[in-house]
Amino acid sequence: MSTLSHLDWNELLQRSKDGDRTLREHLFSELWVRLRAVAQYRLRGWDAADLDDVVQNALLVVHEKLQDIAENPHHFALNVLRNKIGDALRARAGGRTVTIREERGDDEDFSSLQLAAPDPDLDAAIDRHQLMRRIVGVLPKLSKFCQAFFLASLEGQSVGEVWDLALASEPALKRSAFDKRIFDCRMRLRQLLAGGRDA
Amino acid sequence: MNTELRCVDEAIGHWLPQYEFGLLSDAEQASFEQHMMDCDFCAVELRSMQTVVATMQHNRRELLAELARQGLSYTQLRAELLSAAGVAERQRVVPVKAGWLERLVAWWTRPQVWVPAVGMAVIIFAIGIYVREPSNPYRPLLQYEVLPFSGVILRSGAEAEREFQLGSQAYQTRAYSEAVSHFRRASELDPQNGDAWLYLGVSQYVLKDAGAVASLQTAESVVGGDPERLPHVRWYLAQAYLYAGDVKQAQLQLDWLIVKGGAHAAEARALTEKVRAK
Repeated sequence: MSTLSHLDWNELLQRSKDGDRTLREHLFSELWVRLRAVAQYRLRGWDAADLDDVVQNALLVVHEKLQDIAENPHHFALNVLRNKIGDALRARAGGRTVTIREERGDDEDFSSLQLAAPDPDLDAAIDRHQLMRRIVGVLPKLSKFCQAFFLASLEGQSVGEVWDLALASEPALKRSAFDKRIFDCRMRLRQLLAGGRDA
Repeated sequence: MNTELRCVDEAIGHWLPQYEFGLLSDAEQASFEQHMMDCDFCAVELRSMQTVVATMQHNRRELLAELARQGLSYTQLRAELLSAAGVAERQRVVPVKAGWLERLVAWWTRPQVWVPAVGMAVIIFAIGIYVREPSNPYRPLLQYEVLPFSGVILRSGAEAEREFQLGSQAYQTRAYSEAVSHFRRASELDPQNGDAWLYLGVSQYVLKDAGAVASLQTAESVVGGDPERLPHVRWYLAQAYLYAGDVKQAQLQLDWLIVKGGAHAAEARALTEKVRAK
């Protein structure tokens, strides 16, 4: 992924507004990547297509309002995304209708039922399985504290639980140091999953 | 691994894994997202582990089962770490899979929770006996529905905008108390921001906070004749007045909405009928 180290957001915005199509595409590409990550973590469990729709809707607004944005297009885009996420959550919560079929009794006719279609994305299923095997393989290689953090997260424990655990052995541990320790655990996991190439 | 990029604010950047696993509070989450939009390092890192984190979270049961077969579980690790630290396992251990009721009961039975709670209840009851509000027959007519949040473009100072963003986030997730504190701060930093006053007032109204009237009065003076915002302000001001028992002022707002037509006119008409029937 490219970075904006040589151009800041405001300069990118201004040049996009001035008509530079290449930089405009670059702007929206950078926004897409960041907003997609936010959408994924805000709408956990939603499938990729729905996440893409939410982000796309947000970027459409940014596109429409581009000439009106004075500065910090990335903050504006994030605000718009949050609104779109709120709309999407409300639509999903309130828009469902449920139909109740009449009871048919024991002699229900199954002939009209269709068999579920086979998984069209077999490659993705295989990739997921392989990734899980890798995750299971590398987790035991982490320190016990790191294992505890990831297992606690998987089990639905709060970070406070892990914080209490850390304090039990290091009462003087500061919260910032604890955050750094968890961050290091995550970087170690990433390194191991990458096969140690990024050590 | 990124050897060139560096996080622009590591105090927040170190929250990255907690963000990935959904362990941050709403306010921390918003702060991290704001940071990530400014920090190339965090944006790249977040992207790099998206698939891994998604896989872990979508398949958590399967992963936990497989890890348990290898002898790994949080409970066991916890015991090992505590043992290594020379700390005895506490007797009060809520089972990991305890339901919400068991956890609630365990929490309430702690003396540092129930003693002050009982004390506060006694104080509040005593105050309630001596300070009784006159009954307000109009409150049952009120609906306490929030104003849908539409996209608002702010061009005020950075901090005011940040507070407004946090407030809007809390508002849309129905955390109205938190929304009130952020909107209040936004309106203090930018007193001419009509939206901050409006949503502050709506949030207070939903919370049945008597301060709603003052906030909405300020919103009314700030938005002036804005044809888009003024109907919303007057509608919620009418309801806030009714909640406060000021029927006369409420009716003035309702009459304006009915005569003006447009947004909230039908609701104003319906509420007027109900008030007159009382």
